Amino acid sequence: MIFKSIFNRFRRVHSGIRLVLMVIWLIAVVQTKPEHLHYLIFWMLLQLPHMSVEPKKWGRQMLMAEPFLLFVGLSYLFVYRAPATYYHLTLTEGIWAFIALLLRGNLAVMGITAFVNAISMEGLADGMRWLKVPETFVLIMMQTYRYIGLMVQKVHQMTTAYCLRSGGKTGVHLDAWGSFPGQLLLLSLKQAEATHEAMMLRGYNPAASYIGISKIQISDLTDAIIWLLLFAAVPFVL
Amino acid sequence: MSVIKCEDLSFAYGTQRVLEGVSFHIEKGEKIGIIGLNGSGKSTLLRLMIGLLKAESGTMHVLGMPVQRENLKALHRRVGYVFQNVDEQLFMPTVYDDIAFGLKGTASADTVKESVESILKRFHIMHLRDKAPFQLSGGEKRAVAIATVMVMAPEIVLMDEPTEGLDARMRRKMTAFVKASPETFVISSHDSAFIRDICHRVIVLKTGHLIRIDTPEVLFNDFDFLEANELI
Repeated sequence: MIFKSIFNRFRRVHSGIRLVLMVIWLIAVVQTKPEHLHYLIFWMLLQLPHMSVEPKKWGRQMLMAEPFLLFVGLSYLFVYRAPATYYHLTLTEGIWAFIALLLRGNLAVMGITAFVNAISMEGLADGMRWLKVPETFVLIMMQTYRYIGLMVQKVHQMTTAYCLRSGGKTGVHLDAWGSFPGQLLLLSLKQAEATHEAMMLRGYNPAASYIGISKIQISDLTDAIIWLLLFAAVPFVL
Repeated sequence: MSVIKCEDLSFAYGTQRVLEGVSFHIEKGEKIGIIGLNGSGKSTLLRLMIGLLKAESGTMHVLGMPVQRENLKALHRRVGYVFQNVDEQLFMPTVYDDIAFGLKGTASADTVKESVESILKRFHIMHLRDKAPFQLSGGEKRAVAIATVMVMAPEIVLMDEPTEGLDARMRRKMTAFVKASPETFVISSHDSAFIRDICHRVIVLKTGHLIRIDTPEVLFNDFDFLEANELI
């Protein structure tokens, strides 16, 4: 019950403030050195109230980021070979850097995914506008987000239709890799145009849909200060 | 009192003529059907009424306003449009959100909630409230699509093939709904039985030309005309 009330309280904090705290958290996480990896546990706990708790969704997003992290991290293993001891364990600097990269990278991806799920795209846009991010940029981000959703739907429809007529073959054949993405682009743009029409016909005003959806209050500032103090205290306490 | 006045309207998609010299007027509260073969210009005419397309020549006045860029916002608040493809109409994560979409920014949160729940009850779709539109059956999507438009209390409702993909039961519900509604309806459809049941007058289009306006009783009993124009 206590945790739920903490979660609910943080979720009501102004979206711009939550965005600022998220950026601070992200910067701290990605810059964590191998000798300070234990900070990540506590920083993760601190960030939990800002996030939606959906482990399956986190897992999917993290899996998508894994190949990139592994690709970059593997180079460390060959480049940094001097020994380094952290947490009473002696390994090469490359291995420690690799471990740190995986932990930081996965935590960052999980944090961003969970944060966006909790705050919603409209909340994120509202926060960005509060931070004076140019409206054009925010609008592009919102429309791109909607378009990606449509495109994913279209991919599913087209691959289903393709597979039903591909004579039992698995996946999209190499021969079709030219025309298939081309058609996907055309059809998804057509769908996007129709969806945009539907939205405009119901009075959609892009800016109005996200600006000012949350109002800043004194409690938002106090909550943010408490969070920052706890966040900053971790390196000193541990 | 005419709510829609169309005079000598013409439209082309590039070099392809779709509508030529179309003129008619529609009175308040009338249910008007538009029939014709595929490619005769039915959907195009609806889209011209709502301002999604711009006529090449001629005039279109809806609710006393010329259908022009400056008036589109005001027009869209008073005229609803139900797409032929309902997947293009529904775009929010839940049915509730989709129906509420058109009201946000125009009413308080409580009013929005009240209006949405009222419409959900009216259409007997309360059980779909928290469902994702993509999970619904065709008939359910159609009902939700109409609800998203009706919640905005339009004075005129334009519908493009509203009975497409509906079974007999849903079709009966659609008929009852349109008959009982006081709003002006303009319905483009291949479903002649549906048109006959609900419309006061029927506009017949052929290759972009308006060839006849008549009551359903007279029109659908004129088999020579229907046969000559391949409508049966």
